[in-house]
Amino acid sequence: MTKLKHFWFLGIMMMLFSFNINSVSATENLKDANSGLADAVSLQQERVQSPGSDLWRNVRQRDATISGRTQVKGLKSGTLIDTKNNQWRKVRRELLLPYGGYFLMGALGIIALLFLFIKRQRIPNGKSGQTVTRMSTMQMITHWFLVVIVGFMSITGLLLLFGRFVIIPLMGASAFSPIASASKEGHNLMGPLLVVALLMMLIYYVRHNFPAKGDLKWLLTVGGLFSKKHLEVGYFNAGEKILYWATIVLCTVLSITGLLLLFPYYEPTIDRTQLALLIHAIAALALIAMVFGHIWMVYTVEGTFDAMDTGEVDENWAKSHHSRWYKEKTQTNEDDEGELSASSEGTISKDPSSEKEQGAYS
Amino acid sequence: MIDSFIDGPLWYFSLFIFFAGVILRLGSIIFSKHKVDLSVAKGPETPGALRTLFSRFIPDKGLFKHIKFQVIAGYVFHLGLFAVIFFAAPHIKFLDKHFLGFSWPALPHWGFLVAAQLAFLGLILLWLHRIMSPVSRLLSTKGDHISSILTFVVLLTGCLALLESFSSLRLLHRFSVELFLIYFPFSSLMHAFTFVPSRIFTGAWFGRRGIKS
Repeated sequence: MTKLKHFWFLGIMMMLFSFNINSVSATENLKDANSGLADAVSLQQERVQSPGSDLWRNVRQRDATISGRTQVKGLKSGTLIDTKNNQWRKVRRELLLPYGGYFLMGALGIIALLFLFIKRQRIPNGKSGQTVTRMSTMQMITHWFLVVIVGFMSITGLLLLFGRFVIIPLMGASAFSPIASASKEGHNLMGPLLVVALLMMLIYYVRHNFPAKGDLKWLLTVGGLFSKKHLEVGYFNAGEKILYWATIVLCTVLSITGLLLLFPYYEPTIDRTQLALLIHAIAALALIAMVFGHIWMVYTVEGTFDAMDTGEVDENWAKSHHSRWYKEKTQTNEDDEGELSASSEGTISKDPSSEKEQGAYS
Repeated sequence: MIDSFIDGPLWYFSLFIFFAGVILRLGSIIFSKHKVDLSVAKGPETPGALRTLFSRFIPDKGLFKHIKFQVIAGYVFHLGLFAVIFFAAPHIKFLDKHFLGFSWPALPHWGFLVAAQLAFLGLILLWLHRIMSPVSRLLSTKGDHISSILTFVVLLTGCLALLESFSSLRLLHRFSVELFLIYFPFSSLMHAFTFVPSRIFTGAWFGRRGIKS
């Protein structure tokens, strides 16, 4: 029994001992941890550097990119770290994204205010019921083709530019990954079609967009916005011509920079690629803002959309907004009809729809 | 759940509808009863049928002047689509694994991109022509628009999934293909098959009457 008591005592002692060891080791661990943390803090405070960081700092040379020598053949083979990429990241995150976002939001805000406070301009004397052919089928196809391409490129481009900061908080990173991948593939695939749209825009619209008589007056009076005086305007007014040339310039910039980004091996320096990307983004944001304005203009002037819907516009609209073109158009039609009836002795009748179709493919 | 449905039952259902529908429609055309031509044949039917089958690929000169846009855009679209369907590496791999058991050389990646761009270009332009041209607008039915949109969606979802890294994008493409297959036999998309009997019938009839076409 005494022996048993001894065992019992021994057992308790062993438990206490082991507990003591555990607690000591725990305390020691805690101490270690604390001392580790303290060391880390003191390291940070004293800026004690590891040999590795010294090495990479030397390689990086802080803000300068240095090139060494290597037997590997390649444009950037001698450069281990290119600091320009980090600089570009900063430009993208600290300048392009916030200011680009403010710019787009600002443009949308202005358009929203215009929608709210500017009254829709009705056709003077209402719709006459008589229409004039304004756009050929090919002109309409060209316009809508550009709309489809620019629309698709804008959505995918905006997703690539702002998606990380908008989609991830809303839907999470796992949803953003496929969206970003799809946007990138779609953007790269459809991009070259913008060049086709641009060429079509030049072929089918350029002849109406050269400066003409009355354009300066239109610009000086802002299209007669502040005066009730009627302005004689041809096929396009000066504002529409500016929009057209701005679209051509921006789409050209987007096409060139886009192709440079699509084929980086033909433009191998990172500076130029980054510059191309910056210009591409700025041009795209400008084009999108301009499109917002264009949509508002079309909405605010009643009857304008018909030109791109059916190709026909109301006579009263034509008289009011493009009086010189309307006069020229009706004059030409009368002359044509006279010639036709004279040559055919009244046997040929001219069908306006067939004229439109013929004109479209000639 | 949804992924196994798209990859499983819906896929087999769409294939069944597609094959059964195409066979039924083609059968109804080929075996339809028509009046026996009792006139004396002025020429053989078979050469006329074969000639017309291929000659119709080239538009009539007089007509071409007026339909340049549709012909060029039509060729751009159909050739692009054909290349994308039958020469895209993922499609060849899929057909090899699930249907045929053999493969053929695929287009390089850049070749696939060019083919897809041509297909998109042609399809968008043709669809816009359908909507914008006053004559085509009148002639087009809802079904024609649905066919164009479905084809566009199938092409687009396929190209968006090009990276082959996301199951969700692959499923989206497969789902759109399934909708396309189900809609195919009931729509004008059937012209992909019916152009053959149509041309053969017309050509044979012309041949019998001694008309060179």
